Amino acid sequence: MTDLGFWIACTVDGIATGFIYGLLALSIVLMYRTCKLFNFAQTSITALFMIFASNAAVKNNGVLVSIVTLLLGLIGGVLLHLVVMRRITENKDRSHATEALAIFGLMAVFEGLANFFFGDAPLPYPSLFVDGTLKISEFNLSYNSIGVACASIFVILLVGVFFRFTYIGLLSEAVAENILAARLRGIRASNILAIAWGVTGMVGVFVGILVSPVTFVWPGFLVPVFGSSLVAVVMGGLESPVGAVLCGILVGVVENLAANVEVLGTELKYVAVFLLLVTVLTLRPRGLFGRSDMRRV
Amino acid sequence: MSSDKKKVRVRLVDLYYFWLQRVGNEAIVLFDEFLIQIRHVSKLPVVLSSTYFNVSAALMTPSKWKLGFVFDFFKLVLGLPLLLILFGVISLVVAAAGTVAAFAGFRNQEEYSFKEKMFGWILPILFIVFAPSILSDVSLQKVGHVLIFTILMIGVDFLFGRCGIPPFGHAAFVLIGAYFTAWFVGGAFGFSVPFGLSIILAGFCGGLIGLLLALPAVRVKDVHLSIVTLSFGTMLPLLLKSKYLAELSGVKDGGVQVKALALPSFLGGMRLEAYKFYVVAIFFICLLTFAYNLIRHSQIGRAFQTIKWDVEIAGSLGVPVFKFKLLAFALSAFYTSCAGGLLAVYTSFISPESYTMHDSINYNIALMFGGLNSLLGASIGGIFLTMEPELAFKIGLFIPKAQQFLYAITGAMMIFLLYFAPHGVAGVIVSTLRKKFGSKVQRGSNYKAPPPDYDLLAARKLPRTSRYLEGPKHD
Repeated sequence: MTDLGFWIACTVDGIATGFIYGLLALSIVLMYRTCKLFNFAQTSITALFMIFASNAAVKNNGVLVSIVTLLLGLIGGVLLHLVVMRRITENKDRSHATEALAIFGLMAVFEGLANFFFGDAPLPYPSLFVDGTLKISEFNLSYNSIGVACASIFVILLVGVFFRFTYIGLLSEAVAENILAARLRGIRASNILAIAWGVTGMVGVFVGILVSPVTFVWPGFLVPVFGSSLVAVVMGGLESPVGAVLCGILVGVVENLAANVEVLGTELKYVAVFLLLVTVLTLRPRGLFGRSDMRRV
Repeated sequence: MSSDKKKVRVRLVDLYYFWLQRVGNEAIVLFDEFLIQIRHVSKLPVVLSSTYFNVSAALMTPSKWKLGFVFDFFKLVLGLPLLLILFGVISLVVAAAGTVAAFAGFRNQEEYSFKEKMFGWILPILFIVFAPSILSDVSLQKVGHVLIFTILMIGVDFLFGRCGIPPFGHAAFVLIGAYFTAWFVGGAFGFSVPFGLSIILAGFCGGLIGLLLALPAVRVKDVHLSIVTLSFGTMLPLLLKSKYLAELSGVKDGGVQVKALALPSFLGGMRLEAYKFYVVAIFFICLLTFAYNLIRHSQIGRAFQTIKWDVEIAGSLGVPVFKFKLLAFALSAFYTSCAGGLLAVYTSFISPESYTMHDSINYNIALMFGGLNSLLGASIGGIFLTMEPELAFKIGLFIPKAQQFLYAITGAMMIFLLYFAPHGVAGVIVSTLRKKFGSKVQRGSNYKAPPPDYDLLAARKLPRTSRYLEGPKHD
């Protein structure tokens, strides 16, 4: 218990998990910024694609299957917006509540489909990284963890660069700021929303690819990850990508540390995360990096 | 031949008995056969049917004493309501119509008369009172489940429909209500509480926990509350399974056996299913009336409507928005915990895996299906929740893995409903009823201009005098 090395190892493990949470939290924040919606269907859509990918990866190369699944995630997200969400978004009678409810319907559809295509046992998925562990003095870091962390950092930076330094990213920022004003300026907001859905789908599939070697593929395998990422999003401030990533790392670390404390045990790590969320919301209601709500009257 | 014109004086009494014995006899015989057929299908309570058979036998024999015909007339008059009541199908249909009329509000509230309002309430109550005499045990349990799930849906509706916050963790409150009821009834805290009081106490405990949960989350954004309930809902079953509460939650045995409801001695002849159903029905009626009065006829309900309409404007009008959001969450948690307590008492068994996150999402979907922001929608959501598993089971007998596919179809149906019927099934019912029976008063956007060749004077049967042709004299 008093072994500092043990706690440092736990923290490092937590940081590795936290990068996954941060990545998924980033996709949630992106969707929330542009569409003002939480994509609860993400877990089910990713699970469906990963079930197909696991079945395909039995005979084919793992990396190839991963790339194809990523592209499928992108195309699937775009199609989902164009076919389903656009009709509900641009319906005359709609309110914001109906869009949020459509996500529930999508979640039910994809969960049903994922359960339908799922067999009996959790499916394995080949890891993108080499097996083995790296020994630094007395710590053991598996290559999987290092690879996951590096891949997450890479994708986070990629997404950040995309949204900050490209033209489409600029348009996305405009749509996130005020969709009506963006439409008035001639931006095809529907296409931007489709791109946002596509990026979210792709990042979600990427998180699934990273996570599934460890927890096998079954229809609910992303649900705990998504839950923790959502908590991270709320803690970090709903519209801030930086806050989402940093709070994702924080949640990962706290979860891992709490899981190893003897008093609580592995089941009560969620209690620790819940208490952290409640504390942050009590002390700083808009989130650690959030802006306070302003409305022009 | 003067003796031919003897007037035969027919006594009215004889006519009366003639009618009674011919026509009434036929009707009573037919009805007896109908009753015998029904007894094959469902179970009538022995008391009621034996009373009826006694009445019918008494009706067919005229009394021997002088004013006996008066007594027979009263017997017939009293026998008629029994005939009506025992025609269960008709009363079910009328009760359904009355429920829709009462809850749909397809005319403005002030256009109902008092009698119409009572009509809407009395028939559902009649249905609930006589349902155990018509339905079999299995159907009765289903109807009881529908009532309990309606209470649950009302609880979820307080947050989802009236505040726009989808709650993701309400299965946790169901678990809390169920476990507190089980602990109070079973005496886990050292004292044993009668089950009715324990359900209410469990409701209050759940409401208190909900209040504590809502305190940090409601201040800035509603969406924070959804996420907080999500993590609460994830956390609670694990907390119950952990070693601190393991002996209380009975994880080793799979769950806690709630002390079964026992028939009190003064209700000797009733069957146990009927007694459990009546208990649930009494709770249902009380909680439903409370919710209805709260929403329609109180300041709290009007405050909720104002907050739903626009939060900032409600605040500027003087509505304490924060307090009312807390109240909405506490009410929602109270109703959900009461429903959980009723479920524990009704099914006599509770375990931490009974109600999971999947069930929480199911509640949201069911309420969305029924219709947000309405009590009728909550009832339809309750029916949906009860019917879905067994519908999936019955289809699953034909098609393998049908249950998951049914879930997918439900989701697709949800999206279609959102596009075509954004207020759920209740919205469709209310709008069709409004179009057919609603008041034809044209207000605001409902204005329909008359055709250009519409002759007002002919339509109103007014004379074509200068008074009507020239128009009013002043400007």
